[in-house]
Amino acid sequence: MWDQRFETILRQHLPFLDPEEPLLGGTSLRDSGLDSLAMVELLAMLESEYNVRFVDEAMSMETFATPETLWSAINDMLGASV
Amino acid sequence: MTQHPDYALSGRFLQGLAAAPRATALHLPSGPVSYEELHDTALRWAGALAAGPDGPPRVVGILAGKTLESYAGLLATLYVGATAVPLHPEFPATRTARMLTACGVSTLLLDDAGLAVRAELGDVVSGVPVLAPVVDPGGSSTGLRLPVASATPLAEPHPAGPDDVAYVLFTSGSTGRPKAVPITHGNLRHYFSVLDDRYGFGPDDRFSQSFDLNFDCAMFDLFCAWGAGASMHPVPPGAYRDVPAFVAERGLTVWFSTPSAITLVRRTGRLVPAAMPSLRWSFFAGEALHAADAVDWQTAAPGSTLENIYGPTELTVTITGHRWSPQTSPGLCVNGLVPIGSLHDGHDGVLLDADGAANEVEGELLVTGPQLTPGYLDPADDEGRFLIRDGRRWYRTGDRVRRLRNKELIYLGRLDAQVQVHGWRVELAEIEHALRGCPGIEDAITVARAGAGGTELVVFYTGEPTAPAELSRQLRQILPKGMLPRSYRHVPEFPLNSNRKVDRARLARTAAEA
Repeated sequence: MWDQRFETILRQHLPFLDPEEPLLGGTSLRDSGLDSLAMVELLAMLESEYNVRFVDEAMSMETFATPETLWSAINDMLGASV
Repeated sequence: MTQHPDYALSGRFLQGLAAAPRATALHLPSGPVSYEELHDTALRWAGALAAGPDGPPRVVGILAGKTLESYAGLLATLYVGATAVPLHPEFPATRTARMLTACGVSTLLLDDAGLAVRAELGDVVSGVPVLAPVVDPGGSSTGLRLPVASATPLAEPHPAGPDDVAYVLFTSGSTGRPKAVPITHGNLRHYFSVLDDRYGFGPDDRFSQSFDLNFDCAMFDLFCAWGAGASMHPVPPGAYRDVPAFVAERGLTVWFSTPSAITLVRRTGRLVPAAMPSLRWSFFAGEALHAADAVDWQTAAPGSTLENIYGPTELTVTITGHRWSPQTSPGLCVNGLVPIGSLHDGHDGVLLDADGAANEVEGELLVTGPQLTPGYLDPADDEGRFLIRDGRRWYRTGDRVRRLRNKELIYLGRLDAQVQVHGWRVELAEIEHALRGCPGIEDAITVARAGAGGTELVVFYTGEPTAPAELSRQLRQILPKGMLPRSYRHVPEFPLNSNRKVDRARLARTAAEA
């Protein structure tokens, strides 16, 4: 499960997700309002928060599909950097 | 060396090839591709296209992202004398299928993303030969997968006449049916001769390539760069998190994008003085350019000449330009928007008021001249969009403009319910039509508002309250992602104006206040 920092940053970019609504692992980020502009911003915020860098191949709709896929991509990078 | 075909758009690439054969024509994320390599690739693919079951294709649909397939595929299509139809793999399959039918695509050229979409296209593409030159170079024996490995390369690019169609692109239609706009080699020849005179790009220039290939501004990038023997650099999605770093890494001298890129660079904290010293030119098109954005970009790219360029697809990419001057331009701005400038040489414009009379100062902009499309592919779409006046055919842009004291034009707004979101022309009626097809929705009104990242759409709807994510998911099946609304609001009923019509203006104010 992801940490609170991740959830806070992610929710800022999901205009269609009500604050009362739970963020589930399989929630579709695109359907929750993540557009291409917000995706770039989100990317920049996550990179500076976790001190990681997404490679171009990771910048796909698959990576940004759900909280789960995105968190797992970050975890992979964190794992690789230690 | 062969004589360059007189009107063929591909002649611009051959010009660059002759000037700088070993230089980089295209810099993909995987690495640079030289003019010679790209030329040889395009000749091989053109040979494969020509060897199809029905001989050389008439119309090639290029369903691919910003991959080698798009760039070499476009050249190969032009080399074989066919019309190119660039298509976007992320567009909904139903929409792409309608486009393929509308322009009678006779061969498909696909990358891996395009191949995945092809599976969803259904009957429309059964029997249409496929060339997937990188993913499947061997083809298959059934004949529907054209082999590139065993094909004989085309000996030389085919010539083209002024009336031959170079490409077909689609614009949003009010009925939900996209309209096909053919642009001829003659249209493009005039267009690029104007640009050559205006900018004088050279082999040392390095162009950004931010636009998707189904957006005609991409043609500016490709054929300005190639005509000059310069290199062109598709901007990968990740580069947007730090645009100045990408500009510096590639040593870009020419930047061209929609104005939303300015917002993005600002929001990522990179729009700072002299952040992009290598830029000689900065171009913005596709949406209204705000004066404040122009000022900030100019400060970040102080060595560049900044232009706001404007034009509908029907008039070949762009038809006007305003060169920004930090001294004089701010005084010309209206409603905080930068002028769109003067019409390209060889064109005439007239402003029509609501009664259809010519007005010196303000009205709908009509344009005629050598960049004007011969008309929509389906003549039924021409209705009301073209006007015969003084014995000439004019295109009605649907844009309200004002003529400034210095005779330049400035954009005021649309006459109809059309807006531009991140450069995509959107008919509000098209979105409303789509929403009314959602279960539980009675009626829907869409309005535009100025958001932090450019124009945004806001939907008001009646019927059953529905989760926004659900509506978004429904719309995504039928609309490109660039058209998706930013907010959905349920209302018990719409406000009405004094004519008992839905008060769109009031809804627009409500949306803007939020």
